[in-house]
Amino acid sequence: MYISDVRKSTGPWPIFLVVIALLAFNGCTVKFVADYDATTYEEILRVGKEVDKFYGDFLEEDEANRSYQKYSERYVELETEMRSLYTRNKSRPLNEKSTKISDSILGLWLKYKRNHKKNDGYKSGPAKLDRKRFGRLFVSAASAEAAKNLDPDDKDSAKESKKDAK
Amino acid sequence: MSFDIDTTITGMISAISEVIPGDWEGVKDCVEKALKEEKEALSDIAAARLAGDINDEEMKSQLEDEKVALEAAFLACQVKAKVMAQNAANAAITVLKNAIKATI
Repeated sequence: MYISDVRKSTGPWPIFLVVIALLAFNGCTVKFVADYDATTYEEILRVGKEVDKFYGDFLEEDEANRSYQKYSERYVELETEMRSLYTRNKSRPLNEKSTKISDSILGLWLKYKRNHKKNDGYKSGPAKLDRKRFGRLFVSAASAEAAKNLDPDDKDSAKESKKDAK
Repeated sequence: MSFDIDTTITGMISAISEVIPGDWEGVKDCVEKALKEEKEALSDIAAARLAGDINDEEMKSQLEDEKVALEAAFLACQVKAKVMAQNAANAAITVLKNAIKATI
């Protein structure tokens, strides 16, 4: 359709096309998600590594020596890191999904901290499972952030890797 | 009655694809990966219970926490789908912009 045709036609289409054209000429782009934030991505990896280190050190200790008091300071330090990550995500517009993931990470951390305090102990069985779960949660958080950096030409990376493997 | 985790996962994938048909192609691999990891996590919990490393109450708590982890994995897939939709929309606008430029 040419512009001259648009002028002649009736109904809502001319207005719609003019609006779209104006958007296009003004350099407007649609936006469904927040921009990629490299600092947040690095923070996710860093906090995830610290949590893994916490569990690594923790599992080295005999179960009988895992009193809550011994770990309370590190619990609080890591809780602060997670709250900071949550705030960083929440302060960004169009970032609800990443905010929810960081909220879930914080929620589980507080649950395990509360249980440890209540029982004044933390068995290796649940601790090993919790450590692996945090690993997956931080991968989800990092994947969500990394996805915001996808180029328009990028396809589903998993699909592409399958093709490469063939 | 036996529980076949593979059949269950396949059923879950099918159910998810029906709920989000519009975005399905963009997130299929991501969702399948999330479910595969979930399957491994559930197997780990079952193995820990059978070995006596966790008790019934702890198993129940672990399963509750797995819901949170699976939801987080799906949220990451949704972000990916949104970014792909955003990029597609912007690519369409660029085509339109170029077409209008060429016309006038």
